[in-house]
Amino acid sequence: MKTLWRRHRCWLWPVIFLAPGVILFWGVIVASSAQSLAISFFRWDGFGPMTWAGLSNYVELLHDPQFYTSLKNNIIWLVMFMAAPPLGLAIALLVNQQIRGMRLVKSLFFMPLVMSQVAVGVVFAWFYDPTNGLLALIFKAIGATAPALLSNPEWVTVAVVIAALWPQVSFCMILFMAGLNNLDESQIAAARVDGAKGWHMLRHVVLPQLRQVNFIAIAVTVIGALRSFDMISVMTSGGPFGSSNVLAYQMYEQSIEAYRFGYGAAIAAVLFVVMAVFIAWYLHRMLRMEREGA
Amino acid sequence: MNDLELNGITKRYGDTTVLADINLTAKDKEFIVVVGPSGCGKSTLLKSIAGLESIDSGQILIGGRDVTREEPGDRDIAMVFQSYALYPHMTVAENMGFGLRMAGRPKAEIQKAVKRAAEILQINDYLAMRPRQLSGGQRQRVAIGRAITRSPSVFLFDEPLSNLDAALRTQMRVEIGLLYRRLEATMVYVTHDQVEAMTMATRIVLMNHGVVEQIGTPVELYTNPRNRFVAGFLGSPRMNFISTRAVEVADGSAVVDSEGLARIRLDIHNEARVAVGDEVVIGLRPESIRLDGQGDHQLSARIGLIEQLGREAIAYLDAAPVRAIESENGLGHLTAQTDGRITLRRDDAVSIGFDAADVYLFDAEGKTLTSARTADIRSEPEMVDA
Amino acid sequence: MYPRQIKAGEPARKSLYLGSVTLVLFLWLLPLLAIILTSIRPAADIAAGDYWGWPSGFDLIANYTGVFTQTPMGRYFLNSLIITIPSVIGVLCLSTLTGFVLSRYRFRGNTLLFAIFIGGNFLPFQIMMIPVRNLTLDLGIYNTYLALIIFHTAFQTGFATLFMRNFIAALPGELFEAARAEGASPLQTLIHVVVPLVRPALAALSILAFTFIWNDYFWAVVLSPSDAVKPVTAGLANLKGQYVANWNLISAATIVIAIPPVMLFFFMQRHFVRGLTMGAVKG
Repeated sequence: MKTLWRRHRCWLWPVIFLAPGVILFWGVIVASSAQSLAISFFRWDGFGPMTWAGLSNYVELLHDPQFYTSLKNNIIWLVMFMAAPPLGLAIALLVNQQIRGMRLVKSLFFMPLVMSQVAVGVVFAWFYDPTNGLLALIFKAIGATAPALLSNPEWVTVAVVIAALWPQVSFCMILFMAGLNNLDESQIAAARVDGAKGWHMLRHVVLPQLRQVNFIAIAVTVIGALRSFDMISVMTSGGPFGSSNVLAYQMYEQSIEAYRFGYGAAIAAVLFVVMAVFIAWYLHRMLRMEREGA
Repeated sequence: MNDLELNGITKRYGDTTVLADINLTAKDKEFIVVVGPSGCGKSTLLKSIAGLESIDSGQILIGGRDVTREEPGDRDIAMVFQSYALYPHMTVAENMGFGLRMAGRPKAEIQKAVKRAAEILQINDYLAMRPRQLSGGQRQRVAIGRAITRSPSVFLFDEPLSNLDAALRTQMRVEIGLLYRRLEATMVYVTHDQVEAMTMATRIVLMNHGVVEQIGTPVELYTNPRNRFVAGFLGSPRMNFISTRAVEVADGSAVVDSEGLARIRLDIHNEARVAVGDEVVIGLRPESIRLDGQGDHQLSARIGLIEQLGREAIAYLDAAPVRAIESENGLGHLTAQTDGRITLRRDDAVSIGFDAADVYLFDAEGKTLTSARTADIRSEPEMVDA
Repeated sequence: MYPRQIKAGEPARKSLYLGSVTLVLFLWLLPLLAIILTSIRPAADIAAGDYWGWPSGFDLIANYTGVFTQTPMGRYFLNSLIITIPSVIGVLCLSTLTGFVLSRYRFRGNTLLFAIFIGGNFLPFQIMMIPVRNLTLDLGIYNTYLALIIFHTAFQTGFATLFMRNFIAALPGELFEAARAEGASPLQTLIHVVVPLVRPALAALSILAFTFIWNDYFWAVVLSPSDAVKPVTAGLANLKGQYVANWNLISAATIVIAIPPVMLFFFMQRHFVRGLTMGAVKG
């Protein structure tokens, strides 16, 4: 037994090390994701027996106007969220000066990121409040009446996304600040000697060096957009009349509130496919960069 | 007995063979230097001996014991790494005693071994410090000290001096040489630096593309290279190579001739395979070319460039139509090494001379055709008797 | 440095710059300032509809103690700690192990395993809701701390593995070869070499994981419907529904739940920023 252990310990140890993490991650995360796909082919109220439904959940989905609203809102989230990387870069450029007190300023800019999304949702719900909110105050100051953004079907999603952009811009800003601190000084100096300034310097010298940071910033922004749930739940609960709903929230509603787990799982499957395309692209790029780097 | 024996070591990464049938027997107390250009497989060979890389076939014996399948820690070896590989979170003493501590040896024994190693390397004063407080040379001493602490049968060195600056490198080279004499252990030392190889080795293993090109004492490899690669690798500046043709082959000798070059008769050995009309290459070391025109053969040339080094000077010679292949400066110039008190200048015309006895002859595949010669340079006197 | 640094000899430029940065910062934090202002207002102001004028008094202490006395926030706060701390410890342990193996051992399927850790972590976690809920029901841990601890540990292990694996991969390989050559077993290497060397990464990771888990809302809603185990995020969402008129209390509660991550962030800012940007930037 002892010699057996001696002979095999060099590969047994790594297996023992990997086991807990792999088992837990596969058992909970991977298995659940896969099971979600399976449940989408059943009709199930979460308690009773599951009955085979074939593709009927998906067929119903295709005829569900709410699904299209949610999908459209997810696209709005995705598109508007793309403002986060450039805004983050802009703030990073603004505060990237080594002056006394700038450290504190930078930390204060990070603040929205550290707060929970629920807190951000509450903060903005208060900000948007049509009678007593700060926005109402601003409108009153210019003699207008504030719109009730969160109960206006046309503006509600945009209003929620703006709130969600707040921490997201912070996130991108942190990434770009780290990127700016790791620029190749000699390249910048060489470009200065060659007379490059301002926009040209940014476009031709700085941005190419921030390629990898850019990639990460876009990746976390896409993930953030598709995961949006907390803000919607806190600020609008998907309303009014489902007009601010997104796939993740609709799935939650259908399952937990309407007890239609099969249908909810079908929505999850759609979200999964959208995300899988993106993850495949991300992993491909990341592993390629790693190989090039090695 | 601390012999090291490698039998037919072969290793592949996918389709590329990185080590092809390496055979080597290092006797007890030998200092073997494995040298070769980067990517030749020398580090892989060392890591295979250490057990850090697995091999596809072959056998490794240390002190007569087959350790091919053993873990590195059970092979009775110690290794010194290029980057020193000291643990930043441990003191010098903890670094040095790490191996013994892992083996569960009693504290007193570890302390004694660390103290002994520290005395040999004169690093007693640093024992309580962390690696980051030490200079490069001191770190290297600690790394060697860590190897000594374990008193292994075989010491393995992986380019230990390449991270040091030039002055320190020379100093450490001498120190390792002295250490070797004091420890009387078997050492395998990998480097890309031919000076380290020539000065430290009792025997050199010269590798290229995963194959051993030649094994022998430094002087043996220098005077009787087995092929053109060995001839070109050892010696700085490099040997001059000139393409030519065999015009006459007799028993024990051959005559070569080509435009601009006189007919040269060379002694060849018994196994040499060469026929009239064959493309061959002659080789001439820079120190064999004389700028005063003395010697069996003469060539007229023009000075392309003189590199004055003080004690000596390197002359790059345009001897067109005679052109050196793979020349040092890429222009086909011949390289000559001469006395530093040279008065010649750029563009001067000179008559250069050399003796046929100094000329090497290689066939188209690079195999040496000329017969073995005795070294006229003094060999390293302090070699340990094999 | 880009952009060009303002030099000491340009006081006018410096003042202009500091002025504009302050303005941008003020606008940036306006929503937060509004909440802070409201949180120190007396209840009477709120009742009178005076939200933005100068507060008639500073009820900082009254409002903040009110959060703990008039609402179950104290309970939620404790719940959050009970859930977050063990989860963070679990994540650190598991990811050190997986990160070590994935970065230092070559074996078939290594990259695939790694890719699954990353990919799984990128998924919108909402899609796992139904099976995870069932799993906790089957295990009899639905609506307990354990359900949330297990899920958070599992989910964050994906990101943390990416993090630790990249950190350990960036360490000099010869350190590990030296350990092996010195006869250290993988377990000894882990204890005596890996753990001491990854301490800075563990510090960064613990703050990140703490923030992520503390701020989680979705799983709190899905897995812990009862007040007994509900963490602060779900608690705040509840309060917002129940205390509609008491914006001073809600505001104070919002600040209270942001305090632990914000404090951690301020005390260990260097680690936090390095943690978030690891992998994004070399070095």
